[in-house]
Amino acid sequence: MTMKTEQLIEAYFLNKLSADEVEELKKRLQGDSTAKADFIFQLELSKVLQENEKKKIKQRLQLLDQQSDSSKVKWWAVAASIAVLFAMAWALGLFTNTAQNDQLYATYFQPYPNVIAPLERSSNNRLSEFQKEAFQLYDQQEYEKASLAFQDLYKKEQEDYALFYLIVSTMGNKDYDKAIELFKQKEQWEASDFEFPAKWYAALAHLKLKDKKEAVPLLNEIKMSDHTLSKSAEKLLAELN
Amino acid sequence: MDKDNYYLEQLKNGNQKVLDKIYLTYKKEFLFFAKKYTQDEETIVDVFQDSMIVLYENVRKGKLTSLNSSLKTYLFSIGKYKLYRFNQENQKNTEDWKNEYREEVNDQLFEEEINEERMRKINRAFEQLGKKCKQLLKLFYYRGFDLEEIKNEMNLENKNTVKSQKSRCLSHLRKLTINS
Repeated sequence: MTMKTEQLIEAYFLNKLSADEVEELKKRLQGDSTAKADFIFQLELSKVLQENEKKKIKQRLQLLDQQSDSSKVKWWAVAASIAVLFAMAWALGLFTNTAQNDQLYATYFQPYPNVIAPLERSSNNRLSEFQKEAFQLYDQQEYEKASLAFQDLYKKEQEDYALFYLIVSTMGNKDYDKAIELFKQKEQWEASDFEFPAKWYAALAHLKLKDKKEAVPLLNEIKMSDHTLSKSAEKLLAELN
Repeated sequence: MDKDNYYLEQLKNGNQKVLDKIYLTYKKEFLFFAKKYTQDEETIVDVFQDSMIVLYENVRKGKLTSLNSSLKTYLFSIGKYKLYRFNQENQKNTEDWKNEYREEVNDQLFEEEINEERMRKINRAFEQLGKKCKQLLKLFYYRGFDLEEIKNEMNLENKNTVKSQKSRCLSHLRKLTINS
């Protein structure tokens, strides 16, 4: 294959050929069966790769449909949407390390309010004993026990709220690596009512581990959302820069 | 930076979570919008998913770098075209449609010589390649990165290294394809 043919083939796959050059390539390939076979092989490869990516995205979106169909009707969706972050004197002052990320973590980390089973509400009747117990431990800041309870719940029910509170409890228990692992375990948070709260806590865990690179994209997503956490994310981002 | 451009930037970087976000944000509205063209909800969802794929690919391949309209308008116009095509296909007989389809893909060289069976073999062989080769070939043949861009993306020494690695990966793939 000549140098020129090779260059033309390369440019063809980068979509950089003019109509005249396409004609020239065509002529050259017709006169050179080895080069033509090589070209067709590359053409087939590029088709294979495109088809594969298409299939992957299609499956991803189909999965997303299934997930959102099954999660949208759940009763805690309402609870999660009305949740507002309120202060709990918890993490403040817990961290004595003076590194910037640590300080920011300490300033911003508060356990997410228990929006599922506020203890004083009579609506508790619809909760199972397991759920009540997990949230009771959570409210009592018994995070190690709470995380075990939520883990059991999540295993049994596979519901987002359980995973979410498991993550926050794990962070309460200061196991940030584990918290991130749990967050990543769920491939698509997007269809979940806990999407932005989960991303918020994952970002904080990354910050705690001094991994700003991982935290920033998550915070950006929250910032661009309509969630109540958007403002907090914006503020935190500004402090990180 | 407004939200749509932020989304584009994220898609460009391959952030598929943003794709999910866009999909969920506009799906309902698209279902409503598309009722003008067909009543079959399954078709509409299918078309919307395919439109998302077009959007994603256009961004990934650098064909769409900025928007003249909103992201929603862009996405819906892809969908509208697809629905229009869908209706046409249903009205005409298959022969006509085939001719039309041929015309559209004629700018692809030697399209007619592409062999499905060989593609399946290539697909199987590709899976056996090493990580680096997979990445390099995907960047070139799927993302449309030129050698300079691949050099930067993969931290390679220079363009010649990229070039020689690319041809090594290709010939390895070819061998695997023959044996598969």
